[in-house]
Amino acid sequence: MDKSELKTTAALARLSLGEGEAQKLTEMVDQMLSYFTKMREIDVDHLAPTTHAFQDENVVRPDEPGRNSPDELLDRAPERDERFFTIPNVL
Amino acid sequence: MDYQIFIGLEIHIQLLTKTKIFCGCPNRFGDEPNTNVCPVCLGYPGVLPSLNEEAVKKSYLVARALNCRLSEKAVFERKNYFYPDMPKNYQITQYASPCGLGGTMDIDLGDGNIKTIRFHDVHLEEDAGKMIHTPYQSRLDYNRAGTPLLEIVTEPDLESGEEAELFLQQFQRMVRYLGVTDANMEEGSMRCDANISLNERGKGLGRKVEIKNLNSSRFVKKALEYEAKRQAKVLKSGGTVEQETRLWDEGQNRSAGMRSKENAHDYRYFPEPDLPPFAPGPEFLAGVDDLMVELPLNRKQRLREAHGLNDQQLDFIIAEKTTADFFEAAVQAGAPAQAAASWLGSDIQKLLNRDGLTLDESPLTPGRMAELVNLVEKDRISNKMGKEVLEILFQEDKDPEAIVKERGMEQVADQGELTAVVEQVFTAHPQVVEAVRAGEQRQIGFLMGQIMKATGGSANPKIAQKILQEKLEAGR
Amino acid sequence: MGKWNQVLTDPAGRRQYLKEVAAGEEKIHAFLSLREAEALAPAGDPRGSLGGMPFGVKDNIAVAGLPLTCGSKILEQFTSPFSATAVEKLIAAGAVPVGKTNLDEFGMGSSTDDSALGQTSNPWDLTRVVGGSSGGSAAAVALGQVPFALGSDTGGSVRQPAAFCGVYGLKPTYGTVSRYGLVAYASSLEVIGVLARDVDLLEEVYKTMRGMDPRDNTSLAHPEDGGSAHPRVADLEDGSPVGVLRGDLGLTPPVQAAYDEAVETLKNLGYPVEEVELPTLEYGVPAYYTIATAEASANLARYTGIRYGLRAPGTEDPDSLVQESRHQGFGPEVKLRILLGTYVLRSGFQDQYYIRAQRIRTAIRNDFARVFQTTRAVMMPVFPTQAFPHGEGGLDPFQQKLADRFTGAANLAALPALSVPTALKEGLPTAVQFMAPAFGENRLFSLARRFREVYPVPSPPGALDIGREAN
Repeated sequence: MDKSELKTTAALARLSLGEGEAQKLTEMVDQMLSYFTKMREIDVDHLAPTTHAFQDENVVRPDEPGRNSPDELLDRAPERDERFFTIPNVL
Repeated sequence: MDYQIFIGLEIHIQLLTKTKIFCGCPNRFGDEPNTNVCPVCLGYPGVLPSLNEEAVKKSYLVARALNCRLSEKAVFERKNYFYPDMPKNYQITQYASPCGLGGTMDIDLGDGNIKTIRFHDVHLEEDAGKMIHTPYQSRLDYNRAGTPLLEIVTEPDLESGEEAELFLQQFQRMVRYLGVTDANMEEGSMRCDANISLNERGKGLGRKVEIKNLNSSRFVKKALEYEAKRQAKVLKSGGTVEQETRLWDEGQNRSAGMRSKENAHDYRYFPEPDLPPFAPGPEFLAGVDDLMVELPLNRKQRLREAHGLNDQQLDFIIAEKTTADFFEAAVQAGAPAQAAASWLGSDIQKLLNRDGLTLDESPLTPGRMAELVNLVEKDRISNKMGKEVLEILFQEDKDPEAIVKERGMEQVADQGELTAVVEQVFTAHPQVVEAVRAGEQRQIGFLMGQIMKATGGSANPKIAQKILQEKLEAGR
Repeated sequence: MGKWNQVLTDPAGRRQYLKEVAAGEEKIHAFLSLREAEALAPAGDPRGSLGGMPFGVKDNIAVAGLPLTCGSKILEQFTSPFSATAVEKLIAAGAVPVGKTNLDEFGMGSSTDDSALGQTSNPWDLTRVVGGSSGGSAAAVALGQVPFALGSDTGGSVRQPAAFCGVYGLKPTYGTVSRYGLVAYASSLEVIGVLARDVDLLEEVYKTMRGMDPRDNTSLAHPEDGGSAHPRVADLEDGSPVGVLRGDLGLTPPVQAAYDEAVETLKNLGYPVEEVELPTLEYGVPAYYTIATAEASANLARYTGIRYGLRAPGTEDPDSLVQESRHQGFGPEVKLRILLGTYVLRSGFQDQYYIRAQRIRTAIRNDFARVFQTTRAVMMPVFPTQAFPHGEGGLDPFQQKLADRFTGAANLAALPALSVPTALKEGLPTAVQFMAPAFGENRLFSLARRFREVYPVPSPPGALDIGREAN
């Protein structure tokens, strides 16, 4: 994976990286991706992917309200304006 | 150059459920900011989504109404992108395997023209919060985050802005009939994005442009008409239409490319590991079908055949399911259909508007309406008197018969009584009678007026007229 | 359970308890936070078997009012407003969470040295790691600060530190314990697990915690508790064949020696032993890391400093705020896994990485299903080495990942697995791992009890005496 690929990937993940950091991470990601090529050694094309741990289905809950304490959540806001969460946006 | 226009719509409707799609927070519009929130819909560390069965039911009701093929298993997926109004920075939605695939809906283009619009899919997902910009700051309210949303995507079968507007209005009507949503574009419970492309006739789809920020069906029509003109101009001059997203500017009546060029999103969809798939079984579907109602267009057709009403009357009656239900109940209670339609569309509607009431909220019941209509139809009271009775009904919440009785409004129809009155009037105004007999027809009005005055306005005009004529003739 | 039930019953006892725990902390630093004495009064049912028992909770499992740092700067000041369902059940049974234990940041690691908030040391040798990611819990149990502790196991994170510290570590069948309140790393792989020095207590804690939870749609009722969606698994009887993984397993000599002895022990205990092969096992590690990092990249997207947690100061727009907060708040291992996970999901790459890994997952399930047709349980190593040194002398991050080959399979196949201490070698613990079919935890407990006859659970030097029986 080259530097521009890393940049695209980091942007998708909203991870800003310092210069040295980017270099190190590219190497480590590359090492893992090379290792991942091992997965090609086994023939699995005939198998369906397992996306869920068990095949259980149709798990639903009734449309009934639960308790909620919104104020203790607002108290954890890094920044707020009355009842709003706020973020800087100098445009 | 004759360009063919291809329009598709992407519609989102907020489902009417008590709680949000993945948590027990109230699903309510208009509360104080960040009051209907909990760790789940705020994307706190350690939380998990729990699927609301009512949201699922309503999704399948819509899928059924739209004649969709149902996926054997509906699978939830994560759509990954960052935005401040997204608590988890991924949206739980459906992608490869939605609730409903394909589907169709007939729309009434007027003058008996019915067109079938095809759908691509119907899928269930969660709504994001709301971000409001102020100078130097953005404010976030997550009350809306986690509201169950149904996304319905059409195929590009619509051919004009007008058609799109009609489709949207009738779609809105239909989903309201089903009781799954308020579908109110002003409040945001229905939202619509459009995409449009043009191409030489017969050459297939063109390069499509997406249009956002359409806040009413009227703007959908305007924006698409504008866009069609704009694209035609580009094509005529030999250019290519840029595939982009444009925002409709209500103030300037035009669409504009978005300032910030959005990076092509790579949503990296993958199946949601926290939610098992949903496989609608026969029992579940039977339950869904129990909720099915007669859809507006079908109802219109049936009422047309049953009662011979015209399009204008029918459109009014079926505009809302409550109106149609009311109408049919009134007819069931004995009201003649034509008259009922007429009353509903005029005087009753006026009073409802004036008092800010819906039919269900008003003191008028189908039974009472049938009673009132019949009082007039059977000539027991005049039309004018009927309007008065209606007004009194709204104010005093009484049955029409009772009102008429209390106030002695029933028209005098007794032959003997009226004959006596006519004779009295003749006796009182012999010169006028002579004048009429001599040919001055206009003076009949005066005589009728006197008859009405003598009966306090309650003479049955038709009968009084008949007797008057007879008496006039007799005296020649 | 010795005196553990009485340790917290009165104020003086609670203060004394914390003093002794603190003494232990000087050496191992297992806890990131400890509660005040006043908060340690038992609630819930005092007469239950867990009544009054203190326990540690890995700091990626929520306890209301306590920090939930996940060993990360990005949540360093964060406290959770709610408790995990599993914790609520233990509290209702009378147990008392006394503090949050150290872990590799967000559960990503095999040493606990990837914590951003402190280093935990192995009670057996303070120059060595405790294993990870549930290292703090393993150390606290091994030293005797608590009789049991909760951990989470995504690829071995309960079993491996248990092996490094000489205690039992249970990874339950996926879904049998609610994940509500466990900070998600890899949603389809992980489960809350238990570490303890006593296998009866281990079982008791597990059975108290498990059950379907309406807040976790992937949770299910264990067939032992009446759950009808899955069939019961018959108990392990005398004469049940146990499969043993053989061949060149790449173990260090002490671990190999302990493993060979354990095979003999199995035979001596009367189990017919069958050598088994699991050819898909070697593909488990790349598959595990592909799936785990993919899910992690999405699960960790919520940490932006917008609604809670660390917010980088001085930014002027939302995007910078998010990027800078994540840059400052996440450690290098976390960043690596997020990048990797984002990459393997990218359009154009998903087929060859993520989807392929999910197919390998199916192959691994099938492989175990085949093995369990002829055996009732399977024994294999936990980790190729014993506890390795802190720093340069230990395994590097890549080597640590490769070493997950024995533990990752249970997570990929959703199967229960138990790390059982065996003989000390060169003064350090060793262990073996038992695996059973889904919902077959009882088989694991049976085997552990038999092994206990041969291998009493060892105590590290300087182990605390808090809850011990007189003899």
